Amino acid sequence: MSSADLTHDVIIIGGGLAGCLCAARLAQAGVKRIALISDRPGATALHYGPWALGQAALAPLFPALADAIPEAVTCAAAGLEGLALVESEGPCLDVEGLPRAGELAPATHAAQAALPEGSAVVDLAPLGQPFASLIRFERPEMPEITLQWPAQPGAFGRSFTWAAGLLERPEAVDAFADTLGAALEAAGIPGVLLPPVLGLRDPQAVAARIQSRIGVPVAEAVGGSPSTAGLRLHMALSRWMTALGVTQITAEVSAVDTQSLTVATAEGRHRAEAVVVATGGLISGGLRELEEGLDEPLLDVPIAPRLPADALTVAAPGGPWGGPLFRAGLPVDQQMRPVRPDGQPAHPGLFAAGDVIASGDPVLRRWASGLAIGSGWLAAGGALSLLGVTERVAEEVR
Amino acid sequence: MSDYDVIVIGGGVNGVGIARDAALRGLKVALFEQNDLGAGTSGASSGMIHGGIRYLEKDRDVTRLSCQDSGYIQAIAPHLLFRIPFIFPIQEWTPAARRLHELAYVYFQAYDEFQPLKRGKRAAKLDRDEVFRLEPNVHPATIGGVTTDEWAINVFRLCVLNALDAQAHGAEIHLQHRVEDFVRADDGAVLGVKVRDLETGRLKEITARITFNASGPWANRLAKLAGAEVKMRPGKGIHLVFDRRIVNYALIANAVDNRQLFIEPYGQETWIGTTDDDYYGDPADVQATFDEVRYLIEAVETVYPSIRKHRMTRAFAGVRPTLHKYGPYESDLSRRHEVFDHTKEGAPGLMSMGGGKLAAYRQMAAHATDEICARLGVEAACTTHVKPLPGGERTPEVSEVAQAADLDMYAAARMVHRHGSRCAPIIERIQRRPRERRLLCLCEPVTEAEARFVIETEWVSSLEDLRRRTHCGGGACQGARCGRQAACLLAEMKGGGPEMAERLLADFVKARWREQAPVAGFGNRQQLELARWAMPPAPGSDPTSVS
Repeated sequence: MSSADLTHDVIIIGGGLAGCLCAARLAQAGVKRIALISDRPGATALHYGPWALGQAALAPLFPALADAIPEAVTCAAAGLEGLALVESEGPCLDVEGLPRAGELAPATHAAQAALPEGSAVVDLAPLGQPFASLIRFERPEMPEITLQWPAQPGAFGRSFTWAAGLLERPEAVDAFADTLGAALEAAGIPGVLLPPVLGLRDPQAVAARIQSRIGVPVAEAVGGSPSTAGLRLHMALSRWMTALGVTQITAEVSAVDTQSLTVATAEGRHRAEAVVVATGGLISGGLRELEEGLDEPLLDVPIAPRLPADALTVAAPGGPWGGPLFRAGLPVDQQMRPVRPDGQPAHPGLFAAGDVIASGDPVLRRWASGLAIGSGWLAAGGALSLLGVTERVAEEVR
Repeated sequence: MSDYDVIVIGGGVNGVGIARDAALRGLKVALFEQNDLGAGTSGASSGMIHGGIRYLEKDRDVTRLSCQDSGYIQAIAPHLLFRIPFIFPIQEWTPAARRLHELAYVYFQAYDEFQPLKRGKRAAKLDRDEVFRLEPNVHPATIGGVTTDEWAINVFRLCVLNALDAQAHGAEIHLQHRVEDFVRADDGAVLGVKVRDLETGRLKEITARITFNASGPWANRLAKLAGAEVKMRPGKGIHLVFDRRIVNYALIANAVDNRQLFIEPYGQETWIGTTDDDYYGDPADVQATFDEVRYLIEAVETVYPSIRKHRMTRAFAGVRPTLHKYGPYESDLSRRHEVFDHTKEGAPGLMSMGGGKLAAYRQMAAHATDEICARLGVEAACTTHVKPLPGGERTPEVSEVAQAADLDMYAAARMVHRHGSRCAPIIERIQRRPRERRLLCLCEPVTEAEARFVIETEWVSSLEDLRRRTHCGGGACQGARCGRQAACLLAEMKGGGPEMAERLLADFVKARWREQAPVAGFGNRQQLELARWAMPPAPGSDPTSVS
């Protein structure tokens, strides 16, 4: 039976921020046989722009993880170049017109800040998500323009992400630019703030194409659900993995044997020296909801904290941000290895990364992106020492 | 000289019903509500304007009056009502199932005599195939069924419309005002109330010739402040809400303790109700529990086996102000009402109401107002059964509304349901500013124009208030998609900035959470986590220090 198993050096389950950062570090250190197994976009695709790193908040809980964040950020910023992640000074507007802060954010911020005085906010009338009327507080002086775009049948009520998909085609961008240009010319508008529709791959390229055609700078807001920024991130991660030579496998994992480090999927069984579980929280399916509690479906490691049945169904006084509900997950040691109730790692080669980890409340503590990339980075470090690989490039940098 | 003829305490359906009735009869009325209209018992009801079928055996007159009043309510607010046809399914394991099928049909046929009073349809006896054609997912053991016809109402709108009409006839409506004590004469007579404006924190003394305590489950607590008593046996009831319509017909089910309960289509949701348990806690703290949720789900499973596959969005709870009786099980307590005059208890000038049911609210208000008028020496007849509520004068054609406001038919239909002829000012808004046509809430749906109209005219101070009046943020997403937008809109209209928007949103999320937590373990947790990402707590306003 084991002869039929596919063998790898490291298997990573989950292709979100955590899994991809882990794979990136491994690949850059020279590990050749990396398998990244995922079956669907996880919560990464809902990411709306700014990255909440929460380094300081994570430090008391996982000091090594917090320390790993700057390196992971540098790696991500280089690998996700298409998204042009830059350090951001100030907040940027989201589609509701509220400023959102983030330690690290897309170039969106800079583009918004660079818009000249008198710029207008542009509503795309057929879409189902309101926009111009929501940019209220930060830019109350901004004039509003309503465009009848997209004009095709079936556009009514569709989302920003759908419209962003339309602007993947250069000729569609040109047609959009012409529509926009005509409306601006009439009103003498020097710049525009758009909803997040500037394509799904490279918003800056789309912005540049529009600007070169009509001579007016354009910026877009972040946010919205479903999120254009999240889909961009998801797609950029996938391109990055391909560039790094990571084997991407689309399959649903049914179980991980913590004795033999065997990963079972419908198509076959995979074995490796190290396995990283980066399957996400409830949204992504990394944690499963049962009527009387939470469960991590792949491993035989109980989640923590262990909750009484009704702890899950009694409202905490602080609202959905209080209580143990959203803190539960796989308990891990400082090397990101899932631990059993006796405190011992389930297997020396088994790691966890991202939202599947029991930490604090990621929404309340604002550390979701930091937890993902930091723990992915640390898990990769653990796998590297297990494989006996030294990171030459990284050593030189130090 | 008193400030008012009547002070009404409580903005539930009884309070606003009395305020409207009294105002229509020419009395000078002030109403004080500590929270929002319909925020207590009224809003936690199952919304049925039923004809009292269960009184058929004991007291046919009660059934006749109930049906008659259901007819009146349909006449004064036709847009607010919607039909809920019921199926009473018979299952093969029921003892003497075939005979029960016959008997149930006979029983429901007896009820048919009164159906014309409320435009109800006649009962029908269904065989197995017919039941499955109507509701394909009923339990396979179903051998047949009997139908009957009832109506439900949008309770929050009913409360708001009564308050609006009271206001239009001179009554003053004060929400977020808590009555903390009574103004007393030396002889103990109640001369009015000491009421705190919860927004400003100021305490005011207001006097009236009659102070009427219509505070439902709070009635006894209030009466005690004047040394009086409204003897009640409060009963907690919860309802479960599913994200969509699962059934087209309400189905009757038996719980494990043989109590009858139902699963009903309600608007674009499905509700399961209800429980009935003695409750002696603070009515403001009432919340559904895990066990109650499971009790209801297990019961409905016996008629609709796949119910657990559907997603619950919330469970709401309320407290019935049931009149006291020692002995019977909670469900067997009478739903009749009583008007109390506390003169004999040394508190003349104070009156209270206890008991009752939603379907009888108008009769109860009429009874209370008759008593008030008798004491004030006012001779004026009740007209609340013939004078339409605002918007009830004429129900506009959905297609005309859709065309005039350039809305799709569904959005127009929902708006007509909520506003009836009061759609006109909303349509005008849209014609003046076409961008207000866009949908603020996609689940319901609610246009920005409607939200603005409601905020301007219907005492909205929070997103919960807006939800009660429009269902914005009350649907499948529980505000995940519309919460931030609605918060921005309300903050802007109140002249606030982003901080106010964030605070309004945080309050809303907390309030929704009270209803979401009890069903968190029933397929809803993933959605809850998603919603939390869409509506994180305001910076610097973290509601808890939990790590």
